[in-house]
Amino acid sequence: MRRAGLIAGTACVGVVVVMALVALFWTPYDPGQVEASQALAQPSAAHLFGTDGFGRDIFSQLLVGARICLQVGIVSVAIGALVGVPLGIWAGMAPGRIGRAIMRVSDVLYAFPALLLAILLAAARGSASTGTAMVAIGVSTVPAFARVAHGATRSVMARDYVAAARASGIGWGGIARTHVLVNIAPVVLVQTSTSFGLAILAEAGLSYLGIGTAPTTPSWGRMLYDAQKYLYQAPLQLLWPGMFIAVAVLGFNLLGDGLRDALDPRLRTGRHDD
Amino acid sequence: MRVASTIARELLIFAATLLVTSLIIFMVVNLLPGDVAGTILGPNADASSIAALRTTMGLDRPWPLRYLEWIGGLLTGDAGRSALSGQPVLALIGPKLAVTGWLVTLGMALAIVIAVPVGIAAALRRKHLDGLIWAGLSQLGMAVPAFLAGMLLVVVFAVQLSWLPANGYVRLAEDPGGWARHLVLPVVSLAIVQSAVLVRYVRSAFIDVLGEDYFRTARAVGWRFGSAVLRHGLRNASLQVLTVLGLQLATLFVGAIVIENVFVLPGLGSLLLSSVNQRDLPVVQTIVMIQVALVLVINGVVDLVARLADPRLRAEATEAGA
Amino acid sequence: MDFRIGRRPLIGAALAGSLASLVGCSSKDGGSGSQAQVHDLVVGATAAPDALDPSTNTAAAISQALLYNVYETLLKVDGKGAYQPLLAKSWTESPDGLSYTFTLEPNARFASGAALDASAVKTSLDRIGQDPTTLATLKSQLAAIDRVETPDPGTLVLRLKHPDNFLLYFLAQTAGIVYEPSALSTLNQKPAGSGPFVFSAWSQGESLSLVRNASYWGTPTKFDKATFKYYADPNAENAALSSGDLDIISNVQAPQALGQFKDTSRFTILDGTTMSEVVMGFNHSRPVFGDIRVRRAINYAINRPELLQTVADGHGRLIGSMVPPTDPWYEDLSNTYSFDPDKARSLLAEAGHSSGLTLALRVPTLPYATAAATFVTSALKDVGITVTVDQLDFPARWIDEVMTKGNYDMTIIGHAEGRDIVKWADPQYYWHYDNPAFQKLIQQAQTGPADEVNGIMKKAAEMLATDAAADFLYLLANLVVIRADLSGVAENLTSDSFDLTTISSKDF
Repeated sequence: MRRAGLIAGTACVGVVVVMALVALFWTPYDPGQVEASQALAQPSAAHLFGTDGFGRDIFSQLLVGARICLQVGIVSVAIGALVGVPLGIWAGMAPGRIGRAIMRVSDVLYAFPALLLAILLAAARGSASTGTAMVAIGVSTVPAFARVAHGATRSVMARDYVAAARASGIGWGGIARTHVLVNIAPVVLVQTSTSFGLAILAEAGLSYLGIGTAPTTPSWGRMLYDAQKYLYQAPLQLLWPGMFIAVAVLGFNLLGDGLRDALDPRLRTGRHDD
Repeated sequence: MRVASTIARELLIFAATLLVTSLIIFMVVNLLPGDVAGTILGPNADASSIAALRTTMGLDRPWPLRYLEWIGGLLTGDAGRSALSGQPVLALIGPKLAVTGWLVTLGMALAIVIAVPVGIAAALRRKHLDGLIWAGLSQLGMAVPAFLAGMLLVVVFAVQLSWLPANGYVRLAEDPGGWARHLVLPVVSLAIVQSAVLVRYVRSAFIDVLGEDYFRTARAVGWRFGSAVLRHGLRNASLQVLTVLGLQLATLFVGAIVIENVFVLPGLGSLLLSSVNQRDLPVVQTIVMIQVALVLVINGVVDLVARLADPRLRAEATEAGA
Repeated sequence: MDFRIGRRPLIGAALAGSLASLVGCSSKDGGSGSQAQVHDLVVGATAAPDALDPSTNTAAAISQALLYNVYETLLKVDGKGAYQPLLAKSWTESPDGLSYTFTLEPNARFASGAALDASAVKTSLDRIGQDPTTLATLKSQLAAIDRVETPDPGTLVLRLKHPDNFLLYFLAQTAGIVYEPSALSTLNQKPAGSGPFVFSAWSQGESLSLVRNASYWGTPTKFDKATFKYYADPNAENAALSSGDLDIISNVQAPQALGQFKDTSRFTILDGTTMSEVVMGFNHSRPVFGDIRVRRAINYAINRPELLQTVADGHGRLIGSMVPPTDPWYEDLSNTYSFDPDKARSLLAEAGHSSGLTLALRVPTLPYATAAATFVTSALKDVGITVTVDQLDFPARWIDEVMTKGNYDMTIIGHAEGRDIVKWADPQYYWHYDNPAFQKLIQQAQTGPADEVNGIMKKAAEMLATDAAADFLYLLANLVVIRADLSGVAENLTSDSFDLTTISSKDF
């Protein structure tokens, strides 16, 4: 049964990845092409998901949106992981005082939610864009990665084989590479997957508030923002991007849960005994 | 004694952290390009009148002076005045904080009420269809953007059925009934998303607990399953859940802006967004400071409670403090 | 498995109880329209005021709520653009156009009971001219006034430096407000005027409430209370009217959603004109826009009827220049450049841009502006112009980047002020449009014989159009939705005010 979640998650993520790949080479229409006479067309053979209020092909926008969705996820998670994981490992391996200091900095950073960072960053840059949203979301996920890596590193450091490695004269760098990184990789992977889903949601929220993706860029969040005004007239406009956001987030969350169940040996034993 | 000195030490570090944070916030906020003089004088102003207004408003004084003034004021409970309206910042923030406070606490309370039973059910019945359905619903709840859920609720309950107001806010003191009716939809939208997140943690915390030795021991010595779940499971799972809850609660003070926006609630997030856009910096820096302080305080309290509740962590804490 | 949740209180059961009572309230309190005796008017608006003194803060929302309702002026512009008496019973203009004499309404009083005489008017007008904190725009509108004389309490004489055919218009707007002299220092917190409503309460970003002026000198209003409620989100505003929280939406921002108010037994929709020209401005200080062929090409490339249809669902007017139909010198110039992409392409080729052209379109975060940007980007792409769009926070960031620093190629914004065509005569203004012939026309219209004004202004408007000074996209519609029993809301917006004083209900 547990595998069902993993499969469903992989399938959902697969759909998004395939859409993004297709969008690299082909979209049925130029997603920015306005055709006023075609505005708000119902789904048909010519327009698989219909058209929006500008007569732009929704399917084409959804395809390109998948690419932007993955881009937002990858960039922001990369920022979070590349900064957070080394910080967490450092804090976990360093002696108590330094480790605590690092984690305190991370805690303070946690006090700045993505939204707050995005508002300030957009104001500083002068304009909101997918870029400012990605950086803001990325920075806000640093503490989560740091925390996860810190906890995992500490438990690795308590193991006998680390003491043995120390005794045989391997330096800190060597231990970090050979023991810590390998052993905390599964937890970091799970966090990556979860953060990915959160990043997609955050981009949608920011775009909804007008501090995310700029007009003419068909991110799913931006599409939702543009579709709001048709809430009564053409509710399908909201449904499509909303549905794909849900599919993507669901996919990454299920993938994360599935990976955790598969990778965490403690849970595997716990499962058999009631 | 040891516990007391630990707490004192933590408080000292906490105060220092806040002070450093306040400096960073001030620098960031004051570095934002554009200023309030431009907002006040509008599109038709010329550069010289903007410069003149900057001088009258004291915007051109050196920043360390302005920082000391602000932080000194904050310590004495006076955050200065709004650059736009001249109202005291705290008088401006107070009512908004109350709105957001109600929204967030009621929303989280409802989320707990939903999430705890659902999460336990999902954990206990995780190999059965109903357990999977609960877990699946939680996954779905997490995947839907909060504002979309909010808008759909408005369409159904306010516009189609006319059961509840679509948006707006009435103060509790003015009209308790109206207050409650205006809060139902926003609280529910917030709770849908937050409970979905919580269910996931409650579920996994319970799965952990079910595998623990003490739980199996309790069952072995003849506890009924339900009592064992409640006595041991709930107590031990609640620690993990509390941590998550604290973090969610804290970030929501500004994070609830999306819901506030859908339901036109005059909350803290909306005030922050408009103040940033208009560069009303005294308001911006104070709200950011409140948000950050809230997170740090709630984090600290949750941490402390966790340490006091868990004998292993308590030992560690006193060790570190000694 | 023995697992019944309902039997035992769990965490948060107490909170659950309080929520249950909360839901209970909602069902009991269902019929809340029972305040039959108090006539309350709730008006939805989009931009909230950040301060309350319209003479020191530029936010249009201040005058929208306060002008004519709380504050009064010597005269007033009616829905057809004609002048009507208000605080001045009558007025005369000297033959040389160098002085105006106003006879004041003898009964006029401030809401506080203080006398509203010629010296009070003089204090207000002098303050605009002399106080350094009042807005430069207002100062320039009254710049022709040399001195204000008060021969007796009932008579006011304005002596001008030069004739000014626009002066009466501006005296009827924000610049001409008569403030209570003793309250000048607290206007930002507590407006004090002579209108049929009195300021009551203000919650920043949320609402502004007025109550009836019990001792109003003129015809009192029928409403006991009027509240402006502010909505950042246009859909939320529409929903509030649908569900009965509002009586009026002062200007619908999402015309696409107008369909929900079609039920004529509940709502009346007014679809008139504003004075707000949505202009796609070119930065004339950029060499590329020094070439009229590029400006014309852009005008030819954009199908404005379609733009109006997609951006505003067809509500609004195509005007082709900077003049709203309610101005006396209006002329339909919308066909100066009919949609012709081939012509656009050949003009661009002539101008040496056949290999393509990239322009930065920087729009404020306003719904109509971002929507228009989407349309424009696609249309210009068709003729070979690549447009990079970014959005700037409005107001602070847009003002800083576009207005102050001039760091843009093109931008889109609505110019809501009345008679703002004169802005084109100012080369410092953000378009940096420097056309001496145009400047001369405006000068002539302002100071020349009054009977020639309309002819000259027509010429000026035509000059802007043929010179393709900008792409004048359309005029924002004045879309007002009111509860069906209400009437008296002006169809066309001709002032800075949302005038409540003429509104009445057929039910009382």
